[in-house]
Amino acid sequence: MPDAANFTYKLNGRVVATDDAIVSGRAVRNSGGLDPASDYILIQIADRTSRSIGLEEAIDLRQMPQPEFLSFKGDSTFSFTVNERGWEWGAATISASDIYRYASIAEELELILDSAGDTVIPADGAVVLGGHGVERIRSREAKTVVIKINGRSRTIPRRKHSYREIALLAYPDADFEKFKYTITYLKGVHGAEGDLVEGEKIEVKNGMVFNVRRSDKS
Amino acid sequence: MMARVDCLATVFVEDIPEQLEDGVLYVSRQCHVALHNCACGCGEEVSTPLVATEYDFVMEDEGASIWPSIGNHDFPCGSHYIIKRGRIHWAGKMSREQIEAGRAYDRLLKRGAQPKGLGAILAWFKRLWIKFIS
Repeated sequence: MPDAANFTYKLNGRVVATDDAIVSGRAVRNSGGLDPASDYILIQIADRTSRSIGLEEAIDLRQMPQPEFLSFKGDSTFSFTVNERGWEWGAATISASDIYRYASIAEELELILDSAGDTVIPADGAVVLGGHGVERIRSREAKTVVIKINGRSRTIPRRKHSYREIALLAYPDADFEKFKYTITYLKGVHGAEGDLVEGEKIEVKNGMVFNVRRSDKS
Repeated sequence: MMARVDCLATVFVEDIPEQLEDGVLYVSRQCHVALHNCACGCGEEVSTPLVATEYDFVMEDEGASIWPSIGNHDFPCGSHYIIKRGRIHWAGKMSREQIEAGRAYDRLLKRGAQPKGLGAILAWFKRLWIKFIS
């Protein structure tokens, strides 16, 4: 008899080890202490897609390198698509961060909802899946970025911004004749940090931090 | 309203509120900045970026300290004070020379002294590199 192989999978982020190459949907639920197993929906995350696993369904752990499962209390599954690939989910909403993570979408891309006229899904938002029809989610090159300026979030176009444009975001009534604005930045493109002076422009990215201090010009 | 305050209560936040309350120092570690309304009660918002070339912030049991001093020379109030352990220590109005000396030091910190010799060559490569990656 061959040695019992040791297989692992992830359930809700926790690694579970088993000697069985083939496990049932029920066994996966039981390994997470989900009792009774029939009260839970089990979702398997695969390559940029996800599907619901039935109680008696057999899963061959030899066929996938890093099987990952999520469980949801309830009895309904919700279907949607991400970049034209089919997804199933065990809750009526899915957070944007889960979509980024499980669909392996790069953070600089933005998510949009096809069915709502290309509405942008905020990075800290969520999509309601319980409505009519199947929600179609796509990722695309973002047209705007969210930066922090003097500790406040501002959404600005994704392009180069000048010293004056940044100062105006912090002080909408900025007076460049009378005042000098000292602008420092952190967490820029390629981790850029430093200060921005009159005549300079800088590329912006999501999460970039700007601070503007006003002083008089003599 | 419009009352001068002699101490600041420190509040740690992730995002700074759009409207500040007088007498409160809002600190966002994530955004590397502290903001408060000028302690004289004039209503002007004072931004103190917490980065190496700007301000130092220290939190102690008694309250927050910010260094160097807050010099609101450009505000109509012309206030000048130090925030130390949550209290406002009023300082005299600075002379024009003092203000200029402070700013010259500030510029030196930010842009560094004019590079010479090997330093100048390294600086040139650094600029080229920054240009290349951006």
